[in-house]
Amino acid sequence: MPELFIILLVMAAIVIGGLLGRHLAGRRFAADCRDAALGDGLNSGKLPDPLARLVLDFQARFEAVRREHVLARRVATERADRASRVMQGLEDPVLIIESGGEVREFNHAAGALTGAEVDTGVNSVESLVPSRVAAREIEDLARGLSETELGVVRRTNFTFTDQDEARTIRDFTVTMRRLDEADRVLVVIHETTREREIARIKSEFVAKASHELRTPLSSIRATLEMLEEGDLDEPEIRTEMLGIATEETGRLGRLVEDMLDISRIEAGVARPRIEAVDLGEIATEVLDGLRAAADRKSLDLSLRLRDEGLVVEGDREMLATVIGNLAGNAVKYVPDGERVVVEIAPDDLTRSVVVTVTDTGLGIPPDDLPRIFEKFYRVARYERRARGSGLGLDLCRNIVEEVHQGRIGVDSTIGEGARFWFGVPAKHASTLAA
Amino acid sequence: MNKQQSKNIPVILVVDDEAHIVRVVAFKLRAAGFEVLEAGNGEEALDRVAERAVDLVLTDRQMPLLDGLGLARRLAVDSKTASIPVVMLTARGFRLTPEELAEAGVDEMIDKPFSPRVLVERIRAILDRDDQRSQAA
Repeated sequence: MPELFIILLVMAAIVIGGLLGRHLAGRRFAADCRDAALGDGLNSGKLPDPLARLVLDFQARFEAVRREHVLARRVATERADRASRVMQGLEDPVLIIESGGEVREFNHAAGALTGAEVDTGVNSVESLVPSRVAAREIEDLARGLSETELGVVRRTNFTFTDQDEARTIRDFTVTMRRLDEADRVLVVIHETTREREIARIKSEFVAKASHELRTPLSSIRATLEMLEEGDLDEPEIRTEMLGIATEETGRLGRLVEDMLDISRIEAGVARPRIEAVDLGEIATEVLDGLRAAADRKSLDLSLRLRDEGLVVEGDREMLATVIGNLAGNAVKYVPDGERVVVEIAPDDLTRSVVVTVTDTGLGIPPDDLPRIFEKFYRVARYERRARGSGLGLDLCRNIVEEVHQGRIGVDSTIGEGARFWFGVPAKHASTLAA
Repeated sequence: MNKQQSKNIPVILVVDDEAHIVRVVAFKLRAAGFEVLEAGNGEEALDRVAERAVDLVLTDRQMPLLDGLGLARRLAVDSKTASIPVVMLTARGFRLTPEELAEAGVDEMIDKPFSPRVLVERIRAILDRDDQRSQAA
């Protein structure tokens, strides 16, 4: 009977101890039990051995649980902090809608949409989403999500116009999912303005490219049809028309080649073969190829290799394309009897080798200069003089700047000609020897 | 005066900045019995029209200085040239709605690459239609 009483007493102590243990008093209580068990109780013979062991065991377990509890709390706090830091660090606006429709948590990016401060407490969706229509739709979707399974995703998108001077139209997609059993909804907003811009540029490029492809195709198709229908029975006319078709076929081929080259460089899959190449050597070869065309127009085409040290690290074929396009344009566009000079010299200041193509032609109007490297941009006054792919200068820019980390440019005065130049980093003498 | 001329040999003004297209089209039209004038852009075309009576203008859409649409509009607002039919060559991506065509004063649009034979047929049809209209009037 007394044992039963004592066991009940100890059990009551454990329960009370557990309750008190949640507060810091727990530790003190355990110590008291220990004193009771080992000290007065044992010595005085009031508490027998098994009970003392029970109390000690209880104390050890209690201590372990307490430690676990503290650790768990620390881990939970750390996790919450980390989650909050992650959310705040995201570039996409993120907000959490509570079951009542209000927003208690959102990140800096979300605040930036309307200028709301992150630590302002309770906000409405409308105060955070710059489009009122979109805010209502997001609220409706959030309500709908509370009745769905966890993990169900709803998407929407919206557009609004910046109220600044530029009045940029900005596009966003919204992804929403139910976050937890408390019916909170996670809203992630992603700006797609840049994607739309890229899509627009791409579509514009395709439209322009299609026009550029159809033009040579028109001459080719017309010639073939006339040949088939007997319109070209006269040998002289036949030769002329077939000559046009052949020339246009070449143009079509170059256009497709340039398009492929540019798209490969822009997509980062161009795979240049970088080696030590002498720009003087390349230019000599390229100019030899242009000599016949220059002679036909009685042009004075000359090459000036100023110095040694014209070696750069680059792709031989690509750099030949750049020199060929720049010198070729000069030969194509300057009036008969003019002068074209290709000059190559090292530039110590920028540690690069600079190629300059100077002509004494018509010059380029100031309005056209900033746009001349754009795809399919043509200088109106030269339209009738010659036709290229419309991509040559863009390809040059891509090869020089994207592949060789160099610089390319043009300056011109109307009536005095034009000067196209590009510079690519020189190969160091020390690495050259190695 | 335009109509007077069309009774004899119709005069077609071919406008394109692509010299090869002008050459090929002009050859086909001459072979089909038309008289052909040439221009490299809209501005040049307006000069030609001012110099001589023209029965039909066949123009490219995209040209420097003054493009095909601009040319058609300029012809349409001038009472001396408003009755000249305009046929426009264009790439499909730049196709216009019938309303836009009517607004610009373009009678017909032909996609590149085109068939020279079909081009001649269309031009003949437009000139015949205009002839019948002027006879009816």
